[in-house]
Amino acid sequence: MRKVVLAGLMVALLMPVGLMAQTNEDLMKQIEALKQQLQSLEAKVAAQEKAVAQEQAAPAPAPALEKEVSNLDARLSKVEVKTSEDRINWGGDLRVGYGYQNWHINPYQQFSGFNPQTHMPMFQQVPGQDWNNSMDWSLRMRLTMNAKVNDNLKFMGRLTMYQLYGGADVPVFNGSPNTVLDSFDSASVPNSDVLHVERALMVYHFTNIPFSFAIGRMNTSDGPPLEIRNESERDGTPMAIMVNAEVDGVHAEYGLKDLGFPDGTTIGMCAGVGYEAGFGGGGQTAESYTMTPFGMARINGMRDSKVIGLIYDMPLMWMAGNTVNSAELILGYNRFNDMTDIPYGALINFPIPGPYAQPSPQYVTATKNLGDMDQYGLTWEHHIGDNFVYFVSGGYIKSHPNGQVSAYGFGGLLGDPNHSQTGSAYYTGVRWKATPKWTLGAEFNHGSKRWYTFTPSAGEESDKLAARGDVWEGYVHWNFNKNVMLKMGYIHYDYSTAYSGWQIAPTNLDSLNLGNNPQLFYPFPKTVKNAYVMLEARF
Amino acid sequence: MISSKWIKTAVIAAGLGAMVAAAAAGAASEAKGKYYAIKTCKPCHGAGSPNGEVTPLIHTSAQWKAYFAAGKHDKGKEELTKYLTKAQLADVEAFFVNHASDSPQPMTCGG
Repeated sequence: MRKVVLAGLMVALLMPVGLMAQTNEDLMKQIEALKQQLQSLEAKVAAQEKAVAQEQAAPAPAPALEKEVSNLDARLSKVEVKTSEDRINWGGDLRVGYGYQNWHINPYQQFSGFNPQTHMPMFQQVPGQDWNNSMDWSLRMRLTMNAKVNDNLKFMGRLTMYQLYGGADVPVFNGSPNTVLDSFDSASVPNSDVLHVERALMVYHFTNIPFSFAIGRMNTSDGPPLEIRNESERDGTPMAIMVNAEVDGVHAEYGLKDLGFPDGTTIGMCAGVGYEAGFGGGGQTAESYTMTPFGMARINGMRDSKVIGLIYDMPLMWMAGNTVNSAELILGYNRFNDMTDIPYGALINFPIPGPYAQPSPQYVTATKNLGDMDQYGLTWEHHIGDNFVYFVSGGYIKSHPNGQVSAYGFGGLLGDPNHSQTGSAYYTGVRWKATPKWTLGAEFNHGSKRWYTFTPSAGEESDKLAARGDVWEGYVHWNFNKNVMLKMGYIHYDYSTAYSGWQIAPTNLDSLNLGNNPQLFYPFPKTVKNAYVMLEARF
Repeated sequence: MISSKWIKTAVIAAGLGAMVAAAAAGAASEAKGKYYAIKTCKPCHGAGSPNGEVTPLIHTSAQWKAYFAAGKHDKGKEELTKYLTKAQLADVEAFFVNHASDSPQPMTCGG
C-alpha cells in the first residue's frame, strides 16, 4: 500500500506545477458557484414557505361580509331580471301653462245668409271688437317611449294628454284650422284627459349600408327650428315651416358620408296620406257600385289625398379661434296631391251662436279635392359656442287648382280655383343662454297674404308659422333646477289677411285684407296678444 | 351730458356681461366636447369599428362621470390624457354626460 501511495506522490511531483494550480482555482470557482446556487435555492424555499405560512395565517372571510356579498348578489339578480323584462324605456315631460289672450277684431262685414228673393248673399256690418281671456290654464303630459326590438329595429313612440283646466267642456275651436281636432293634431289641440298616440313608429337600420327605413305614425311634429325655442333636442324631421303634424306614413333615409358629404349628411324621402277617401278613392269601385238603401260604401267621388316629400339634412362643425361652431342646413320639398277642402275632424264645442244654443262637438269632413300644391323650404341653424344660436327658415308654395270649390262655400285653393297662386314666408330668431340658468330669445316670422303651410300641430291657440302677417315673440327661460324650467313669453300677432292657416278661401285673398272691412264668414282677429307662463319638467 | 337712459343701458349691459363672464369662467364646454369627441374619439370608435362604437348613448350619465373620474382608456391600460388634455377631457365629459342614455334624445324619422 505504501508503495502505491509513494508511486502516486511521485506522479504528482512529476506533473507541471502550473497545471496543478489551475485545477485548484477551477475547483474553488465551482465550489463558490455551487454555494451561490445553494443560497439562491434556500432563499426561494424560504420565500415559498413564508407565502404558504401567510396564506395559512390569513383570516377567513367574516360571516358579515359573506352575508353582504350574498345580499348584493340577490339584489343585483333582481335588477337584472327587471331590466331584462322591461321592454320599453320611458321618459317624458309635464307642462302646466297659464296664458292671457287679447284678440282685436277690426270692423268687418259678417255673412248672414242669402236673400230669399234675390238669392244674393247678405252681410251685416260689425264694428271693431276686443275679446279677452284673462285666465287660460292648460296641462300637457307627454310620455316618450322606445324599445330595441333587435340590433336593427327600434320602436319609438309618444303618448300625449293635453287639456285646458276646466275639463273637456271648454270651447277650443276658434276658426283656426289648428283648433279642429283630427288625426293630424289630436295631441296638440287641448281636448280632454285622454292619452293620444302622437307617435308610434318602427325604424329599421340596415347593417352594412347607411340606410334606414321608418314606418308608422312619424316624428313629424315640432321639427326644426322649434327645438331652439323649446330649448330641447331636435324633436322632428320636417321643418316646422313646412309640416308640423302627426302624419301616418313612411320615411327612407340614406347617409351620404361615404360619397364625400360631411359626416351625418342624409337625404330622405317620405310619403303620407292626408285623406283616405274609402272606396271612392280610385274610382274603380264607384264605377261598378250599385246603390242600395243600406249600402256601406262611402261614395263621394273623392280621391285620396297624398303627400310625398324630400329632405336634405347636412350638419356642419368647425372651430373658429377658440370657439366651436355647429350648424345644420336643411332643404325640403313636398308635393301635396289632391288636397281636400276641410279635414275630417271635430270642432271641440263649436260656439253655436244664440242665447239658448248648446255648444257641442261638430263633426266636419272633406267635400272636394281642390288640386295640388308644391312646397319648398330651407332652414339654417347656427350655434356659436355653447350659448348663442340663431336660425333662418323660409318657405314657398305654389298651388295647382283643379277648378273645384268646397261644398261648404269656402272656395278653392288659396281663394282661386282656376289659377295657380304663390305664397311665401320666413321665420328667424336668436336664443342666448345668458347664464346656466337664464335663457333669452326673440323671434319674428312673416307670411305673405297667400301663405299656407300644413302645421295643425302647432299646439297654440293661433298657429304662429301659418300666420299671414307679422308675428313677434320674446321669451325668457329660467332653468331653476336640473330638468325644470319656467318659460315666460309674449307673442304678438299682426294679421294682414283672413283665413290664415287655411288652404281655402271663399273669395280671392286680395279682397280679404283685414284692414279694409272685408266680407267674412266668421271673424278673424287683426291682432292677437298672447302672454304665457309655463312650468315644464322633463324626466 | 350723458342721459340717464344711456347710463341705465350701460349698467344693464355691464351686468349682463358680468353674468356671462361668470357663467363662462371655468365651465366645461359641451360644444367643444362634441368637437373633440368627433375629431379624437370617432376615428377609432365609429360605427362598425372593431374597437367598439363610442357615443354618449352607450353609458348613463353616472357611468360617464365614473369613467372620466378614473381617466383610463383601453380597459385601463393607458391614461386618457394620452389623447386629450385635462381641460379637453372635461369638455368631452360635459358632452357625454349631457347626452348620455338617460338624457332626452333627438326624435327624428331616422331614429
